[in-house]
Amino acid sequence: MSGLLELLLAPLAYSFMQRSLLACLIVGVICSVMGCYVVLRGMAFMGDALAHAILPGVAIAYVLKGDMLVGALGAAIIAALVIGAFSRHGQVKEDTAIGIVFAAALALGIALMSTIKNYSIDLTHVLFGNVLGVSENDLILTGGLAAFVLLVVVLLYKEFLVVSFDPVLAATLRLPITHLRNLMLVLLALTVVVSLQTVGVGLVAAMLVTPAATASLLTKRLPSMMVVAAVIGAVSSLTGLYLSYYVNVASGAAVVLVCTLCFVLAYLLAPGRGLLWGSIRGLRTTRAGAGETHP
Amino acid sequence: MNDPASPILETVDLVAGYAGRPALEGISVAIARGAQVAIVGPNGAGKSTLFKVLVGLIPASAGRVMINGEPARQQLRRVAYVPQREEVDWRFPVTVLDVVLMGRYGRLGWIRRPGQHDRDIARHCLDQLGMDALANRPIGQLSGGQQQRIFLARALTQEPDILLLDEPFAGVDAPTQETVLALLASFKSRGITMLVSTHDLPLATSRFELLMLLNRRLVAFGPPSTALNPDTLSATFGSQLLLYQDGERYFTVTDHCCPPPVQADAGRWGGEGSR
Repeated sequence: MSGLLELLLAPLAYSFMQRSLLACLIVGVICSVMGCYVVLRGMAFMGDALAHAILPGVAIAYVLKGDMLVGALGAAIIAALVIGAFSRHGQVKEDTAIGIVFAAALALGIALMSTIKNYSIDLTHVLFGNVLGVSENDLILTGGLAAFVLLVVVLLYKEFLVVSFDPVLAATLRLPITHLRNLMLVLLALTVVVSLQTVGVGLVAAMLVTPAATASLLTKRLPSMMVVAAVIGAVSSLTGLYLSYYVNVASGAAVVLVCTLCFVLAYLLAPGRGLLWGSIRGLRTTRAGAGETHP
Repeated sequence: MNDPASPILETVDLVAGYAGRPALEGISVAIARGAQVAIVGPNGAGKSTLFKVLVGLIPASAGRVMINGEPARQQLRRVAYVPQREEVDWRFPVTVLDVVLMGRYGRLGWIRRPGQHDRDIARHCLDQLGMDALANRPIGQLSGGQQQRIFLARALTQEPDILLLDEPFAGVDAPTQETVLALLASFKSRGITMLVSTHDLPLATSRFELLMLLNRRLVAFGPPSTALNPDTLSATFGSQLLLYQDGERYFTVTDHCCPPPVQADAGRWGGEGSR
């Protein structure tokens, strides 16, 4: 027992590991909570697109020697609102609008980066995350943004619920549907930006989708889905980070793989709905059937 | 303003529709407080469009809608609307009670959560529809008739003065239809004004005191005895309805060319016309 405790505590001797663990924890929670709306509203592609759309912002921030998080944030919010504007009037389908903006932003990001020399190291950090390099400032910004996102999700719980579940009722209740949708996109953009540090552009979508999808297999109501998703996200993030410390694999990848393992377990074993449950039920009915034909 | 003699709902030269092709033209009608109106017309007659305009989902392109003598926009809290088929995701993680409570959101305003009072109202409304036992069920486990009932229960929690039901009897089972009809009859004493659209002329004539015959224009409005005659029926249904005269009585054969293929009852014998 004390050996296990030592395994858990040893990395904490390093202050960079303390910061990484905190950042991972925050990202695990916030991605999973926003991920519930991503899963329920079918916005997975949107999450992925926003992650890639931050590249031009990062490149511009790099050139101007500004804060990369701020650049990423600006680019993601602009991309989210442009996608919303393109698809609002129904002339362009939303996933088409996402595809266009996503590709354009990615291309712009690559074009900008190709003009910058010696960018390769930082680019890797953006693409795959660099959780061990979280500075104190990063941590404060991450924590602040995450607290803001969670606060809005809690305060506007019933508004987001009705807009997501039944837009017609939301319209007859005179809720400002467009503003609520845009706000949700902005919150998603904030979440994506906050996650870049730990899992990077490539794997943000997994953090948004996988814990929430796992929770949807285990729960029946949205509040419990959010709580369970947050717990899964947090535990996976910590487990993944410890794995990367001891086994020396990329931290973002380790976190996502642990999340995926949780999903597979839930898919197989979820009480009442999992695959195993189904096959037990199937076995029982075949046995009962066999009993009838051969008394 | 709340003079009981004045109409609760009034439209004046209302025109509405999509992309310049009006689905409704020149609708002028005044509906008295507590009236129970069946809106009858074939598919594409503009029944759903009328409801969507009344509840503010689509704008009127001309004319106006008055509720309680005021422009409808300021009175929308008083109107509850149950669409023909709820296009919601039935796998969404909400229970029956969660969905019914959404009807209270309009009264709660921003940020405030539903309290015990709202839950009591929601349970009472569920009870009226015989659904209280299912309050904690996930909505994905409901039958078609039960789905229809929770949306009616939700409309009731809005405590509306005007209730708009779009084709509530299309594709529901017989027990649900009877429960709903009995409940609607009880609204009369509670002073709730009701507009129910249906393409089922016999049902409309036998269960509603007022008929509104609609086919893009308002063909007739009044009690069945005055609203129904060969002219209004053929103006409403056109070739979809056959009329037989047998001495003093008319028999109608209506072609229920229904959107859901649940009841394949095309050509079933309709009720009697007038006199």
